[in-house]
Amino acid sequence: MNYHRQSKKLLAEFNEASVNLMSVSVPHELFLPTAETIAQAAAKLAPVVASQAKEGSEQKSTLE
Amino acid sequence: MEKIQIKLALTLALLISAFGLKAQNFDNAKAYQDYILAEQALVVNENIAYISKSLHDHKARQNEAERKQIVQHLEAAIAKVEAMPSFSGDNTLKEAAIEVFGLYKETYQVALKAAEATELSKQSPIAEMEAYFSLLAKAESQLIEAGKKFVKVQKTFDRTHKLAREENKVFCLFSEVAAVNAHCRKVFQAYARVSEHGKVFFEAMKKKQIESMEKSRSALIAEAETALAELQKVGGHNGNLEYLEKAKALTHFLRATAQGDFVEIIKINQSTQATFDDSNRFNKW
Repeated sequence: MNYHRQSKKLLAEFNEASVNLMSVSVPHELFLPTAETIAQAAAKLAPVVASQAKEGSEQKSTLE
Repeated sequence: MEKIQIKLALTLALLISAFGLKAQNFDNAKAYQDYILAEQALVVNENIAYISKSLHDHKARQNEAERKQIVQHLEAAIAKVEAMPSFSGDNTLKEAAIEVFGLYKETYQVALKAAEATELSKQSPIAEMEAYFSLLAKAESQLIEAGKKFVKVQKTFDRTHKLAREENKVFCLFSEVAAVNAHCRKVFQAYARVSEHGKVFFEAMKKKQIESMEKSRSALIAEAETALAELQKVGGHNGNLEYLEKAKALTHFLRATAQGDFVEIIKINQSTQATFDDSNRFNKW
């Protein structure tokens, strides 16, 4: 095998290994919890906000 | 795919802010903490995307737009957390979040801006690449230190308000990305220093500079010895040896080429009586 072909092959394998390393160490699914964390936080906050909104509207109707 | 996730995360964050800021107080420690953690998750996710891209993509202009957008998001996150009330008189988590977002912002405006200014290409000298990597390493370390500070306060907040201890997953993920990047940089730099002499050799060959060819050939062999010794010490990353082994294979190949074929090439270029066969052999190489 000539130099250029061999160096190209080794370089391609080297680059591929870099991508593999990142995907093994940091699985793609791990990016998902960010959205999930936010969704969970929003879901947990919603009842708090809803109850406060209800209290607010009750107070408002009492005033009216 | 990642862009879609970031957009989704942004939409959700806007939803949270719409809910959260209307709430005048957070009477539940967990909800209060989750609100702040959600903001942190959002900015750390952007940190990961930017830092990962910076390692592989050195196009300054593209990175600048993203970096400026992250700074804007950090400013928005700071404003949102600043607008939050304290939790039962406890301001620690809120203040820690404001501080950590501020430190992130500073890193993006100073260290990462400086890294971005180093526009690299395949032709860039090794010193420029090493300077770029060193700026990235510094920025990553600043982001990790800022994150550690926040995690420490989060632990105290958990204890004070009797919350079940939960690991800060996004921060752990960012630390892991930074560790992989550091490993990649170390391995890549060792190989790149060797490869640099190869580039010099071919440049000298084009100009028929025999002395420079011989000098770079010897330098390549010496650098390959150093790199192989360094790579031996580095070891794998969390048991992953593939990247390291491929770097070693490339380095061995370059050293063997310098010890064998480069000598032949120098001889052919030196000779005033190179035959047709010599040229043919060299052309097929």
